[in-house]
Amino acid sequence: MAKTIFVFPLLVFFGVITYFTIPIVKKSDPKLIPSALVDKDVPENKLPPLFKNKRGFDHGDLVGGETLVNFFSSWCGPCRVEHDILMKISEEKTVRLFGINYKDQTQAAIRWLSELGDPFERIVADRDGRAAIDWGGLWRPRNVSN
Amino acid sequence: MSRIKALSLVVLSYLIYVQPIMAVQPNERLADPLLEERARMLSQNIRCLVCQNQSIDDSNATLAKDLRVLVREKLTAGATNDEIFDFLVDRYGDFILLNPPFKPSTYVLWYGPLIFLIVGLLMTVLIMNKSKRRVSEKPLSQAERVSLSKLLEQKDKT
Repeated sequence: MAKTIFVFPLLVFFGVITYFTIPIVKKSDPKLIPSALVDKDVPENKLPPLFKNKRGFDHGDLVGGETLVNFFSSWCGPCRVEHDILMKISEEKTVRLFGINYKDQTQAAIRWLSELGDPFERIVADRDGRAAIDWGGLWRPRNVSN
Repeated sequence: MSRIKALSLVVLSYLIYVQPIMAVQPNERLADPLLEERARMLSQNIRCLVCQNQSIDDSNATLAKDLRVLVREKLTAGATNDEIFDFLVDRYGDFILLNPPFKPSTYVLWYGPLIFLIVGLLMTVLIMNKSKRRVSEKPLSQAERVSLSKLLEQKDKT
């Protein structure tokens, strides 16, 4: 009994080592934080449509069926890479794809969509980035699925 | 000579104008000094989720700036400190608070050090008790006493 207790610190040590080694081996990004909004209702939004020819949406339009809401910006590099994937998703038509144009200039956003194609069914504009905070957004556009 | 004087004046003026570097920009500040002080206090406990090891009070990230402005807007509208923290936690989770809340899922964090201290103390007491016992466990046997006196005699001779 007296001797087995000395194994305890060693076990704790290996426990701690394992706990901290797993994320390193898995190469998971420590900066990625789990969203606080999982399983919660979509935040209310009353954003204006990005431009006239396209309908906007509010939180009520997201009820019923699955919708992928994508924050995008013409100034955002990774969005360009992501855009190909969005185009594919819109062709597959398995989910509805809505866009929120984040802190962008309308003209730049329209040029972006006409250059790269427009995968979105509906688009609203979040000019001051306030809606992005409601969605738990970080420093650049992010995907949210409902 | 006058050149050196002028130069040293310039250097001195730099020393005088050293200010703490702040991310808070003048146009973000509130006119009411009390509210501004509360805003600073709150922002120092809100993590910038972009840089993650800075508060939004220290960070130059655009999200930090947006959050600073948001905190000040809410303060001006009469929100309490807790309302502002709750608003942010609802959106970003507890991670946005630099001071982790005290609740069941963080008990390990808060009580952990205490538990380690207690375990350490327990083991120290156990070890010390054991070593004390080892010294005074039983008296020397006859044979041991003889060999001990022999050794001591040898030592006296040399």
